Amino acid sequence: MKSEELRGSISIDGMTKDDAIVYLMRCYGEEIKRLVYTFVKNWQQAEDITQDVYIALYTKLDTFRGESALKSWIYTIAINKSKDFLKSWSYRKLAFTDKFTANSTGSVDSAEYGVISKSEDELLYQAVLSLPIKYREVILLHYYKEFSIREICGLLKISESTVKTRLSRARTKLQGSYIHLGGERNGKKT
Amino acid sequence: MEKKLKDLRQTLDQQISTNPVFTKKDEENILLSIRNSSFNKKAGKKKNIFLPKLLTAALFAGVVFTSYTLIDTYLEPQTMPDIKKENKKPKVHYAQKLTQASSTLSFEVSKRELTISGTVVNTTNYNSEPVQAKVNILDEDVAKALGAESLIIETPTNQILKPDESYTFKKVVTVDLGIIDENTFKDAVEVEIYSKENILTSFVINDITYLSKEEKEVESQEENTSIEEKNVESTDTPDNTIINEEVLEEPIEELAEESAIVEKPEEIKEQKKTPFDKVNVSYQGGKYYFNGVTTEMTLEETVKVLGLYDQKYISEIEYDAQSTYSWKTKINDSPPYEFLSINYMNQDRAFTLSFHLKKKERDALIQQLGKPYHIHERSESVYFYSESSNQLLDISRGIADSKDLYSVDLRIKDDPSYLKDFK
Repeated sequence: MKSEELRGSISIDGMTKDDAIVYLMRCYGEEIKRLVYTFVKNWQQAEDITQDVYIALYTKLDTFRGESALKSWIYTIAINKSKDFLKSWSYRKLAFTDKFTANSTGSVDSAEYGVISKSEDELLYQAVLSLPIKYREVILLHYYKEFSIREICGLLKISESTVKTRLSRARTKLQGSYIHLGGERNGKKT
Repeated sequence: MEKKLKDLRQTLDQQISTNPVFTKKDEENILLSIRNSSFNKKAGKKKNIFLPKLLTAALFAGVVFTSYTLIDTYLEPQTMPDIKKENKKPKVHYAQKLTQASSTLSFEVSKRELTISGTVVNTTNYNSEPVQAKVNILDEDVAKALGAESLIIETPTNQILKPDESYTFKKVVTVDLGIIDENTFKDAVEVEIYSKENILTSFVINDITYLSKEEKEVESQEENTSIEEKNVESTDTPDNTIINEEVLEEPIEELAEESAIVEKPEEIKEQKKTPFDKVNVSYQGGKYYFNGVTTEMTLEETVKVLGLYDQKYISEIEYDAQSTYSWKTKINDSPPYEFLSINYMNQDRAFTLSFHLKKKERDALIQQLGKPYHIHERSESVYFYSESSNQLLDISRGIADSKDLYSVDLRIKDDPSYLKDFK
């Protein structure tokens, strides 16, 4: 990721709200939807939440102050919306139902079974997505979205030491989960 | 692992999808939603400059009228008969209705003892008048065997129920019937709770348990388990609680704390009252109640009304200690639809209550609740809203469409107007 992109050097000054939102969708739509999916693990929900993110952006465009990075601003909204969904009753009910009805065919959770034929990359992907959300988000933001620790502090509104601690624990958990799923022949090579 | 993490961007992007996931269709949907949403409509309404003027004129007219009325009242002769004041005598309100929280019949076969027990709750905002209770025997054979068509349940003198207070009744009688089968007590026993002037609630009990001698002994042994033993086991799972261990990822400490809450001796006294025959939805004093419980009630208060829960579920989300407690119902036949589930945030107060209904029952409930706040036809969602308590009652199609089930959720929502934005 280019550094100027990280700083949010993209400008929407002088654009109408409608033009700005189209522009922001073209710049960030793809990566925001992918990020949201890594949080909620469901494409339908990812689509709905991405839509919510852009509607929220549209309503708040007037209040956007140019000094804060546009990208950080969009990411903050996307992360908060995803977390709101994960905390919501409908999500818990969905998770609760899946436990009973086992109808989550093809989901990451159910993919734990039958790992033998899966590639190392696929196992790593599953291991990341199976992490508890507070560890998953720091791994995703740091390694997948390549934000610095300081930037993650701003996005998640937590202190630098907390980010570092979570990252460290997240790495340990990820390694354990990856090996558990059968990664690198159950860790013999790692 | 560190090397793999460095390549995580490529790995995840490959695994999530090799094709773009944000398409032209997404873009169009977002733009369409923005155009349809209320803030655009509001922006359009700003052009109407006539409305503010009209409102100002109406306000001015109101002020003039009020001033005139006040002056007129001031000038009124004091000798005029004070009819208005007479009408202002304070009226005493009493609760006109109680809500059934639970009820059971249990028949001990060897002793031929029939135990009629249950709980009613005052879900109104007023105290009740002193209540009395009786059992009406609706079946002729049972009435003959008892030698009476009605039995008085002893109630303490001047038994008044304050708002949210419950009253538990119990009556044990010997029934000397020749042959007793599973239908003997079906639709045979009705409980009536009444005051001097009104019947506050009445219901037929069809939750019948037949106890053999062995079962009774096991029950009494369980009751006699000492409090010390329970304290020693305070970090273990309560006997009558199923914890879905698969769901627990790691919040062991949270679990221990939550277990400690439900294992307080005074709560252990509460017996299971499940399965409920039906989840009764009522609206009293600006609040919706499911079987006498509502949002903002603590787990302790809920257990007093509903009895001990059947299941406990710990959420995987670790931001807050969220947990769901479930009470069995007979409404539907497969898990998880057979539960009245209540969600607690940070082990504190109930913030969402939920259960499922079949279509016919759902239609009857909508009919019972009157005019909805909003109907979203495409998703078959019907919303009821109480402005005084900010409670949103959401009746929507269940997750598993093939089940033809509808979920009924009660939660606090400060401003549900956004529901009307989505067509």
